[in-house]
Amino acid sequence: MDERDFDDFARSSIPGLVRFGRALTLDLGRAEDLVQTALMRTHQRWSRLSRPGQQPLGYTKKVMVNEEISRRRRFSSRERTVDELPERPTADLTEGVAAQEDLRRLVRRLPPRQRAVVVLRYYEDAADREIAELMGCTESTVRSLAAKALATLRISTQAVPEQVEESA
Amino acid sequence: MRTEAELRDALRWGDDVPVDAEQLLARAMPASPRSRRRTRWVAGLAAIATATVGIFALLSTSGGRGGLGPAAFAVMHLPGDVVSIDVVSTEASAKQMTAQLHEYGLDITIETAATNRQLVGTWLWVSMTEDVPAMVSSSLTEQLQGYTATIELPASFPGAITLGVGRAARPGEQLQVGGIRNALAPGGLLFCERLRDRTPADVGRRLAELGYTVRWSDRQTRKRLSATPPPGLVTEASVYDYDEMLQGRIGDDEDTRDVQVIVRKPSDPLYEQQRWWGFSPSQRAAGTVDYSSCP
Repeated sequence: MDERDFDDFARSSIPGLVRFGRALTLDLGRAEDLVQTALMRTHQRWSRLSRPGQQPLGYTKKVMVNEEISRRRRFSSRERTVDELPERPTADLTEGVAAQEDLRRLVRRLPPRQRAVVVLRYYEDAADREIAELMGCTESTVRSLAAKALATLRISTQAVPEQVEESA
Repeated sequence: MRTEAELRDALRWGDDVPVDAEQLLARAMPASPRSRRRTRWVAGLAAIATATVGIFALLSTSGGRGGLGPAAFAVMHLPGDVVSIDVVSTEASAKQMTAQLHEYGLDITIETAATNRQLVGTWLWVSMTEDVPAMVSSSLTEQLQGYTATIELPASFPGAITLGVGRAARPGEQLQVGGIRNALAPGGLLFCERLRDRTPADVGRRLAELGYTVRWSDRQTRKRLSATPPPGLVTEASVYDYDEMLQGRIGDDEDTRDVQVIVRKPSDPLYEQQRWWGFSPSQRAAGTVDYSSCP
């Protein structure tokens, strides 16, 4: 295993992974924990992942998504953060910021797989095929999860007719 | 209706917060000199597995000394150079709690946050400097997810750790953290009922006597709530107290009332993990539940 290669990979990937983690968890601290866990897994498999043709970044993101889905399934009845911790900065609640916070609050409440699809599609700009591969499901499942999530979030898209919202 | 562009913007939350890549890298892949220390920590845990509660040495507890405030912790040294810290009171200030731990030689800083009643006296969060070994940080992170009243960590370690403790809200103060812990774990609302590992029929009967409305759940299949229990044994229970929670932020379980009981088959791969939820590592390793604190 070439530790320097892993160092280089991790150092260059961490900023993007943390940002992805923040979108996925909507929690600064948890995002870093998620990246840390995923990188540890990637490091354990580095001898294989560093071979030509492998995609260590994709693997790391896959670990992050799966970890977050599993974690939320395990803890969804336990974690009820009702406010930010004291040391965290307070947002400037202008109207636009408040609207975004409202939207994020709704995203937080999405079931884990729906939230993952939303983040992969609207933060990572991943295609449904990529999302399906990463989450280990079919493209139709991705579309179904996305439609339900968007209906819950009251997001208007050309692909989501009004009746989807009404049936949600 | 909102637009997709608004959703994209909302998800970009946090993009402008700087990322300390070096710190994360150090945590994810500790430098080789730390390996030996990590090995000792693992060995310590293995030693706990063969120890009994009887040989744990209770060193001392904080007294009500001037300046240190009411005793906040019971600190025990466990086999393998491991220290267990129990929160016994949250009346002292965070500064006093920190000073009490320093008296024990533990370089730990305490912060407190107002929580709902069932999380008062539990460990809520951890942050640490980059030189804290990854094994310690991952162990603490895992322990704290269970909202335990007891945490275990090496008696000495490089780096500095900050731990958050839940305390009661002061009059008029808003809750900063709210959560649900395993009611069947030590300190939990139903711990002394000794319902863990019992059949759903037994548990349902007892909870009905206590006036609870029971919802049954099997997480593995995501059939979360049901009026009839799935097959298996009771592994965990979550008591909901709507007086303490802000309605609308309950998430997936907003239709839940009273107590949600989780039942799993012993053959389920997650059975062991779930039944020890909220227990400390040494309690898990001992394999038996100590009810001696119960009436």
